[in-house]
Amino acid sequence: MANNAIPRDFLKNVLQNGMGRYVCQLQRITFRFCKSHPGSRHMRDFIENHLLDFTQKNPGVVVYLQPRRHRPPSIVAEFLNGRRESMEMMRKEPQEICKWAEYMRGRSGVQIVNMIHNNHTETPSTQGIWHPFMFRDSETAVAKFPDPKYSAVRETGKTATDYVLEEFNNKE
Amino acid sequence: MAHNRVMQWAVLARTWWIFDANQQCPFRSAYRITTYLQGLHKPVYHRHGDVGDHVVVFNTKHIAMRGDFWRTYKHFHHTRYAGGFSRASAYRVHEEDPTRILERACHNRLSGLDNRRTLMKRLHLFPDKDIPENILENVSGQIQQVQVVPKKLEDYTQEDIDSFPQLFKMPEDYDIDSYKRENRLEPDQHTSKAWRLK
Amino acid sequence: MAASMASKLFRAGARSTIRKVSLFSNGLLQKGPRRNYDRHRMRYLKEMYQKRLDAGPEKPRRRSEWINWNYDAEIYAFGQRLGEEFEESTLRQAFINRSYVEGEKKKRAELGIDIDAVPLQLDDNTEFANEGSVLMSSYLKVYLRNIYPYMFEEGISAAHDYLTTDEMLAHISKHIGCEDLILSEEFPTSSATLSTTFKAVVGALFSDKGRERAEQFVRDFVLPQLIETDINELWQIVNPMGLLKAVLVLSGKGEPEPRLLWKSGANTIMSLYWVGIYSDKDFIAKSPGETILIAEEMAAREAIKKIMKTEDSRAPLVLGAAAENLKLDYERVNVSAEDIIRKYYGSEDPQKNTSTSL
Repeated sequence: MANNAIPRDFLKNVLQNGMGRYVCQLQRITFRFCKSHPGSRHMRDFIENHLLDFTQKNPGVVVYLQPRRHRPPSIVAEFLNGRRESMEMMRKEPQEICKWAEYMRGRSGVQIVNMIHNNHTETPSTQGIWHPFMFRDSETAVAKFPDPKYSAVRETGKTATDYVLEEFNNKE
Repeated sequence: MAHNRVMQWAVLARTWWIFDANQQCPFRSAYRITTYLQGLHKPVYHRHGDVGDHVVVFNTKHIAMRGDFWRTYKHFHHTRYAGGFSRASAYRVHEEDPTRILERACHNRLSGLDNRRTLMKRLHLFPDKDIPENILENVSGQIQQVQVVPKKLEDYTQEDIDSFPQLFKMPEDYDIDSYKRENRLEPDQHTSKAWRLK
Repeated sequence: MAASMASKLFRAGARSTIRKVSLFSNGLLQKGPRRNYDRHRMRYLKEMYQKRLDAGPEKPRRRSEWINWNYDAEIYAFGQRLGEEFEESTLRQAFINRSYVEGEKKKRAELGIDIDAVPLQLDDNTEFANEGSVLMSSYLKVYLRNIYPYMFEEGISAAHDYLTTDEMLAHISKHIGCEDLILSEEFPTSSATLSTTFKAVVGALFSDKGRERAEQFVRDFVLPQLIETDINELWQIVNPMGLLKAVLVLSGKGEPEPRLLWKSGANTIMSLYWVGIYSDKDFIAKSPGETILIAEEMAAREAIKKIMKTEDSRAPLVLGAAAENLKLDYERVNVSAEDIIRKYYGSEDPQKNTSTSL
């Protein structure tokens, strides 16, 4: 589109991830919460009951717990391409926090913008892209234009004259 | 990368076509010519892509119009000044400029396109068979004609005329060549004086 | 009372909604709550913004300087993330740079600790890096020679050089997560350090798990970087027609004959020519071009691509799951273009050697 105000980008695969082996792009995740404030209650609940499941399933992700007094709970995810993303976890139930942690685990770390195309390929064509001389008869290459052979209408149909001549010749 | 550059050049190349307008209807020819001018004949066509080709049209002097279009088909013009409106029949326009009828036909066919002027610049019209050598060298293909060019009596050899089977038995005193000596009226005698050619 | 009121007002700062007391009868203070916006606030914010800009950006800090950092956990996670089981000691050693060891020695000397009495138990990663570099180079070449058996040795070397540049290996190691784990004096880490660390990781894996595992690592992280590039563009051929002629004649076929196939718009800027190369009247390759000479050169390049079987329609690299049972011939030797050129042109006129260079 002509408008460049809204950021948009092509799809990217960081370091051809998955072509060789798949590497989880989440490097470390930090759970920030307050030890006493009621706003962090769900977060504390999550840490007690659900955090170890997450860590056992993802040994390649370093988990940090950062207690911060009088501050709302949040998670900060750091990805292998150097980007950081933080999300507020205030008023989110432990199940929802699980889901957001899983969401961060599944991301590639690339900034979320509008997709220009929802696909990307390095080899768009294996048979080759059309060009004007792909299906041309090679006789036209040595023709001297204008040539009545190429100009004349091909399918003319039978005219009355042709019919008369044919009948006459048949009779003879 | 260098190969991609030449491949892109090849895919989006502007080819040159030639068209013989002898005995062709200008409006039907315009349909075919504008198809090539816009690039609609290419699978890579897009309106913003500027994928149109050049078309060289010759023998525009010898176009054929159906019915009484030579007299009744009018070209209008307004100079945008007061009293600047004028109209002319096709035959008058054709006398003035033998390429104008086909040019206007193509121009009208491309109406609505904002790159119409650019496309019209890629249309090269010549009244006769005389085409400049440098343009003729560019041409790489020919567009098929729209109508069959009828074979005139002059194009038949005397042998063909003589060997053609006789379809009707004429009475002995029938003068076959009488049509050549037919009493021909002066042109435009059927119309009022104001409309006659000077 | 007035003083405490005044100090309260002062401490309230720039907050706009302060209820002013209507005890004073001079008209300086407003009576009642504020009904319009705080006109001072914008100026205040603008000045603070300008001060922040003048102070300059945050100085770049290592990740380890932040509070949420645990080196042991990070090292463990590094191995787990890549799916490799490293020995912890070798992996730690792989991240220790020489500059770090020197720095530690200096610190100990400054503190007055005798090096001989309390030896520094730190080995740097140069040995691992050398081993890893050698293994990586040899494996890349072996793999490429087997995947492209008809490619000339110069092309294989060019692809290998492209993959083992410092920038490429630094890029890979950054996206694996090496940057935060590196121990070195310099900051920010240069691409040389990053690439050395990557090679050291390969070397560490080689010493822990053996050759096969290390080669799989190289295949999974270094070789996919070839996917986005055109392998033919990595090797710059100076005279493709000369090479083509030598190759064809030495393999018993006729000399290459370029022929014009198509042309359009010869007198215009948008001229297009298609040139095809024939040998003994057999078609080899064709290519378009803006002028006849360009088209001929590109056609010769296409012909060489066809001989090397690395055209655009070639099969993709064998990576990932498909490469698990890959059997490579480690002794394979590919044809060298230089040998061909020398053989063909060297035997005739010695002066011809100078005109055909790769």
